Amino acid sequence: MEDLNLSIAGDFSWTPGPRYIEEGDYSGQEFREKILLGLVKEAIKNNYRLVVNLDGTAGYGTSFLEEAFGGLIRVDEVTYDAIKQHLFIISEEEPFLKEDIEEYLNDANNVKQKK
Amino acid sequence: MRKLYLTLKHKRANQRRIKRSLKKRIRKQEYLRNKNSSLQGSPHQEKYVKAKTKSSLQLGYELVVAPRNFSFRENPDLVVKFIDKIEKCYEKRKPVFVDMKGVAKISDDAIVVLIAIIVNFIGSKIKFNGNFPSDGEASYKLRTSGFFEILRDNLHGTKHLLNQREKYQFGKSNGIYTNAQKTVNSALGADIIKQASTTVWKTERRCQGLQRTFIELMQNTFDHAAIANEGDKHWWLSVNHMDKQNKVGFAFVDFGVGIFKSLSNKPNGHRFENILTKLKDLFGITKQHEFLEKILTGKMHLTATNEPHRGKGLPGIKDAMDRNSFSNLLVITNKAYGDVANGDYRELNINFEGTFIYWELNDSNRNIDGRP
Repeated sequence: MEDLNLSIAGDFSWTPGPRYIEEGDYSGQEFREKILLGLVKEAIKNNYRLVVNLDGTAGYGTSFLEEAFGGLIRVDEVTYDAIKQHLFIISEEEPFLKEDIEEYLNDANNVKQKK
Repeated sequence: MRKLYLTLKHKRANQRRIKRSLKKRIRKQEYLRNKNSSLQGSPHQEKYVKAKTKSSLQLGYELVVAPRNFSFRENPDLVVKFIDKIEKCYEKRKPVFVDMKGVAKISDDAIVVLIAIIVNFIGSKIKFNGNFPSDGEASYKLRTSGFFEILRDNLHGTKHLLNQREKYQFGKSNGIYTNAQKTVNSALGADIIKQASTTVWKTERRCQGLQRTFIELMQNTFDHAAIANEGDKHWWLSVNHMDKQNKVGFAFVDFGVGIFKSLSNKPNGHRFENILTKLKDLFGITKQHEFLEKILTGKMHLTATNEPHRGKGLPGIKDAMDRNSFSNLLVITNKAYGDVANGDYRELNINFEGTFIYWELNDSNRNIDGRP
């Protein structure tokens, strides 16, 4: 499986911000809508692996990560299975972020299943 | 010989020397004036205020006496009582005279709270006056904190800025840096960390847990501080660089309605509607400080909301402290007092209409190389 690489610090901002666009600059919503969603769709369509590198930033708020990744399921209706199959997270500086994102995806999927 | 000093070259040299000498004299005079003021606890502003005190009280000002230990962290009950008195005057649009003569100790967290209050008064065109602590050290700390520069800037600009819903910020001065904004400004958090890490480790480092805390607090103010509209309240941050101890203290204040009042006022259909009743039923707790503990440990959003993707902000801050990203986390909101670092949660006697959070960065905290 071919890799698509995305670095949040390099390709978006080294200071990721709040959840929604109206709350401040470099929000999770902006990242998802402008960058992440397009690449996720491309990865699914062409059977690529999207490697998202979280390292090198000043730090993340929980809302940014939840909106960016959980929002793929909650808002953009990408399926949990497709994300699990095509999305790979690198976070060496803050390893627990991988678990956090996994939790956000699970929560979003559970809520979607209940609906 | 005399002829030599009359040449153009020497005339210019003389003029430069005279200018230098004059500048030096002025600087020295200023230094001595400031030194005298701080030693005697009797600065020029204080003399002016002393003369004004009597007339201010005659003009219908409400006298509010500041607590002797004017520190939010060390003396929360009395500081909240002091704020409550001022807030009541604010609601009645009554002018206030703050008597600080008896203040023996003042901390940066109290200064930032005082600034936030006064800016509210200025913004609402309600008169506010006060005097200086008689104690030399407390007086010196107040005067060198940037307190008066901030008030001066606000007297000339706050109303315009508040109306425009624009950000406004203040420069660093003698260790206390104060900022007030409405939106989430992650770049500002990163800049503050650069300065703070230089104080703590003598080089620029990244502290991602600290950055998370800044973002969560700003986000929290945006989401919860105002009952009516999100983003309608300002947050205030004071940063106190303690160079000798390789330590930096942060005090974050929002004068919204406080966490619990905000939670009890959520409208029908809101994700936090009736959340306190649900928590009461689930855990059998009734006191705000008990709720605070549940919120910080993340038990609230897991068990009592239908939207698990929200409400991770405050638990995220506690997680960051537990991962040693910073130390000494303290939360005061409404009637809840939580010394989170020591697991000491208790009830305050008087309601604090807002949220106050304090934490420290020291050289044992988690950090990594600066910006790659």
